[in-house]
Amino acid sequence: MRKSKVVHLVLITSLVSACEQAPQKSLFLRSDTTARYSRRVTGNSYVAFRPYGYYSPSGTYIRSGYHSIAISERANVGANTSKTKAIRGGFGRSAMKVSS
Amino acid sequence: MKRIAISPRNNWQTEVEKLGFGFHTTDVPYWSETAYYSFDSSQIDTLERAAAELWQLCLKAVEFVIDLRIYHEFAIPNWMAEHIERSWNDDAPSVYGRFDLAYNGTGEPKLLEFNADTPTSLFEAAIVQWFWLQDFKKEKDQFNSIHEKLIEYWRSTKPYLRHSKLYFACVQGSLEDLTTTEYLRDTAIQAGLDTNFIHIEDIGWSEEYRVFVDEEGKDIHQIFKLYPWEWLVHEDFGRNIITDENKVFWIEPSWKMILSNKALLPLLWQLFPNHKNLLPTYRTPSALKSYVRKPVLSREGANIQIVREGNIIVESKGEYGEEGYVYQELYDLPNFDGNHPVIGSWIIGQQPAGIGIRETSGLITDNSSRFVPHLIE
Repeated sequence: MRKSKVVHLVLITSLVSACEQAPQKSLFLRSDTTARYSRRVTGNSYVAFRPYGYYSPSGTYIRSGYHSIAISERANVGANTSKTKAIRGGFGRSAMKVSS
Repeated sequence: MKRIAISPRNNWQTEVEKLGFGFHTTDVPYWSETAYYSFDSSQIDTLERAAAELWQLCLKAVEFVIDLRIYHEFAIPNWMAEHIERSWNDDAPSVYGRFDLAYNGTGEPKLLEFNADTPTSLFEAAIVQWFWLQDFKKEKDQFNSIHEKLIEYWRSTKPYLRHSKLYFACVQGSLEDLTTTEYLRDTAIQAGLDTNFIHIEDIGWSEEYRVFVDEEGKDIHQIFKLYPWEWLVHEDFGRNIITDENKVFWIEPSWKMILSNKALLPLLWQLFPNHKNLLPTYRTPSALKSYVRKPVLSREGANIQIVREGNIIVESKGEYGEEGYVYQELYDLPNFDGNHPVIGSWIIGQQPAGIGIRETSGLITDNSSRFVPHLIE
């Protein structure tokens, strides 16, 4: 036989139904803006972004930023000035589709 | 080789959509099961041998271009030379390619062109026609082990890939491109690879670290892109490809720029004159009176001109041609009651893996062509 014996698909079959769903409102979190997020939850429960900082010699707590294990280490570095500065949109302007 | 008219399945739209095939119809059906092509086993042997041989010729042509560094003849910028040579010397994974062949069941198939970088119609060939045959005549065979070979090939690349996610990228807003990309990702997942999807527009560049990053700022180390190299290198991030600290594994690799270029055709004819699977092709019309003029870089049958005995008989519009043209001897496509098939012969990894047939009513296979399934009698 010259045809594939068995064909299983694990991902692609949901594509059409996924594309037919009405667009939903989503919140996208950019990793390079985490330092600006406000405090959410403290204690032992899971939080998306944990605050971190340090105490100044005068005893005042200074918040440096927020971090998350869900995003890259580089994007967790704290203050805005040291965040990864990624530029986007440098690829993808040549055409609407590729088919050939 | 025969073309046999049949009645389509009553619910064919539902059946193909269940597979994830959402672009089966535009203004007219693109997927057409109102007919199928039938081959005998010796014809399939001929097609398989031709694909294997053409692949070997192509590899020799790449070596020739790299040895002589004649990238300018392919409109490839010189600053990509080192990247191309490294990808070639490192044997970077190359997943697929599709030879477009003219063949009517007798004699030898003739190479019309090679889609080596971003060939589409893969999902139709590997999956949709396979499941069609299961419904139509399950006991029959088909030249189509594309799906199996893709999984095998991804598995074989594991030792070469890095221990990080393999990204799959295509442009936003094209269901056809998304389907091809996600299908390939499906086969990579089945081979045990850790994958992620990203739109090509969302790829980021970190100036500070000089690396490509995903939407979350994570480094990209390896990526399959359904996006042509000739576009990548001419866009804003193009030159970042060669300064990238991670030296991303791009799939298809950059040496495929040499093969996904119509300038390959006259080179093949120069290196292997009178080869049985090649048509005479030159950079000028030369002595040809009947020829097809093709832009060096073009897509979907754009800017093609067909000249017979010095007269233009068909011409397609488009925006290509800036890089020059090649002139290929006119070879009449087979004619089955006004339907002109072109056979897309797939190479997966290094092996011929199957065929998919697109037919048109006209002489240029463009984006209005129909995909028609086949079987082996």
